[in-house]
Amino acid sequence: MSDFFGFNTVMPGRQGGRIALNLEEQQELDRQVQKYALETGEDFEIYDYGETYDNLADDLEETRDDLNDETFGTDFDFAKNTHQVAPALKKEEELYIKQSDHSDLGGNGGFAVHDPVFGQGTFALSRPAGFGGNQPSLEEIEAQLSRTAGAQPHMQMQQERKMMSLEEVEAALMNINGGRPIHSEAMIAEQQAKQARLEQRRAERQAKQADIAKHNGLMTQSDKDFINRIQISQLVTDDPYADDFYCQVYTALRNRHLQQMGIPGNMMDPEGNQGDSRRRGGNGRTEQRMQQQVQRIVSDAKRNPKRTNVTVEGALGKIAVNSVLNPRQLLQVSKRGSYTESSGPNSPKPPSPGPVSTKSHTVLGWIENVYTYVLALEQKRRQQPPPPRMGEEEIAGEAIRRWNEEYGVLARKMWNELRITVPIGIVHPHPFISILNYSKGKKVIPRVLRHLLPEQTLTLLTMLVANFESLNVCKSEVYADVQGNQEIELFMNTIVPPLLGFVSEAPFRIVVGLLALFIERNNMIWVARSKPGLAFLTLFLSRAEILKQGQGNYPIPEDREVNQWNELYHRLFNQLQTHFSALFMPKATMAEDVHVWRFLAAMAVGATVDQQHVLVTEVREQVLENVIAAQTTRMSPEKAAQRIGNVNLFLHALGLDASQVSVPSM
Amino acid sequence: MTGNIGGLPPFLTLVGQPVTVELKNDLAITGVLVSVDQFLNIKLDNIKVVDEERYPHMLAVKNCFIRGSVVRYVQLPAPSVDTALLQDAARRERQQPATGARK
Repeated sequence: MSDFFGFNTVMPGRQGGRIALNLEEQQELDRQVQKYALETGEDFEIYDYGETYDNLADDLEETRDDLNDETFGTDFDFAKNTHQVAPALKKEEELYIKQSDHSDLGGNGGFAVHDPVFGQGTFALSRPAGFGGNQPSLEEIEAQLSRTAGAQPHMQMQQERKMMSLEEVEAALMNINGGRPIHSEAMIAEQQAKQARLEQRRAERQAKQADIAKHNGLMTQSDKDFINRIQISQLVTDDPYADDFYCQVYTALRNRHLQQMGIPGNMMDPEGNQGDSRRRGGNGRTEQRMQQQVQRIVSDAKRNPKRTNVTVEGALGKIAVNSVLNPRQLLQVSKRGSYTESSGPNSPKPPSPGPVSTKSHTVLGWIENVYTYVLALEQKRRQQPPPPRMGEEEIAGEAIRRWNEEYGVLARKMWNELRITVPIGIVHPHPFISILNYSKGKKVIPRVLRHLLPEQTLTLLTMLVANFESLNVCKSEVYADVQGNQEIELFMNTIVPPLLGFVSEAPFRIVVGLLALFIERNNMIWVARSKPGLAFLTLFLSRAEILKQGQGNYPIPEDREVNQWNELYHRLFNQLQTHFSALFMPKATMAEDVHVWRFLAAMAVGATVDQQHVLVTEVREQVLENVIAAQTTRMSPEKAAQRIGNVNLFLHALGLDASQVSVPSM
Repeated sequence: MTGNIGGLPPFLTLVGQPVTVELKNDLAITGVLVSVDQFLNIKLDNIKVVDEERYPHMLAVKNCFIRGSVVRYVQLPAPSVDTALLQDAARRERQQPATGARK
């Protein structure tokens, strides 16, 4: 230790006991001392180093040790005993120090724990109570110096040094102020006040730290790990899809949307409950370890499940153990006695060909089963094994085959659950139609279609068409009712679009067949009065037209097929004749009638001249009404344009335009 | 698995959104959702009491922690919740009830 706060600790040679410090060295020494003083906030001037020896040593009891051997015995091992008790002593000491910190600190830095000279946790045993941590060490320094300096010249030197130090203080202060000459005492006092405040704040901070540090070291590392494991086990899951389904899929969907809109959405990982996602790389290993720990915990828990009912020996009955996972029931719901068929939530019922009761709960049960299968299928899709890499085709092929098998099994079960293959006529309404009558059922259809083979889709469509009029959305009175309207909208949004896609790809004969079925099995007048019915009709008609003109992906149909089609068309037309104008809703309901215009346009395209004539005659009133309304009455330009557009849908199909309509003068 | 996490996932996606929590004592508080846990305890930031500050003692309160058991309703912003997805999540939850066995 040759450097001691900048002091030169090399023992000076004994030259009459006087330290050979010339002025420079002395000034240097003082400067160092001052620097140290400023750093630690000590005010040296109050120390009078002249008389630090308190002569207490003279009062030590040095005699009367004669009977030691008798008292303690000759083989008492002092060192060993001390060594054994040392840790306790040390701890006591620390506690004592911490306690004594609460007593007067006097504005000096009272850091109890960290002694800059001797390091952490060491204290001179003779430390006086109530002093700040600095002073003994300072005293030590001074003691050392004084000892090396000798007695008399020591005092002189102290005085010299004191005067020096005063000058040094002033010089230091000047340096602080940027070299300005010495100013009034007030400024000096201000400086000192500022320093005092700084020291005070530092003292407070350190006191707080010490306060907290009072309770350090109570838990062992294994304790902390234990607690951490428990907390983490709440967050980490084995299969994120199983537990956190909603979050995962929701964020995935949202990110996909955001990416489509061009906004980066990279926050895939489900953020923990604290919303904290720190550096993922560094946490990778810890996550692995946590995963392993969690798996261990989980398997342990599975082996010994905690029971929700505790039965004590000899007691009558069970005691329900309530916890977060098994909360007390607030409501007591009693099960009703008998259903005609009880459908358990997890066991799908096989479709029975006999008379099946179509009680609502049964149908709802079917729908839920379909949902179960759909969810399972979607999950399977997500777990689709990757395409085989080179050389691994054997193994990968096996996995793919297995996956395909399982997927097929699920898909078939789902198909059965839809009750589409149930023969018609046994039960009215047809089970599939019953399914479609519920909004839940409608919503599941688009998802179902994604997993069906094309021929299955065709079968579905056929069934639907065959029984169309029994759909609840097909009743025309439904328009007046808000809920009915919602169902219709739902139908139009969920069922029509995917089937539209399907029909748009279908060949001519299929379309012909479907329309034939449609007309045969359903009362057209009834069907046409509903939005879904019109939608389907329009669909078939327009598709047929496209195909007839050869604009589809298929070659122009043969004459035979075209004749079939024409025949169908005539049948349809004859049925609907005189009813065309009735297709429009009474104006009072303010319902949208654009779909009617579309249908009329579709009809017009395939019509002969005579038929077109009939069409125009029948809906003439409507056309005129719309045109007049758009031109004369006060309505917003958008609405007017819409009206004209609607009418033009129809008129253009005839080769006419709304502008050609001559408004009969009033 | 990690036990019943049932009611929690929708809230996890709502952290950072403004919600309104109505308590069983009829106090309704609007604030930004900071955190939620498995007991549906809720932490809100920048809270504002809903009804005309009939509860003036809350004027100075900026953030709060609400114990899950006193909540009656939580009003969520509609566009932030995907109801169809929620239904699916509930169906899955029903099919695979998380094992209630946990230490």
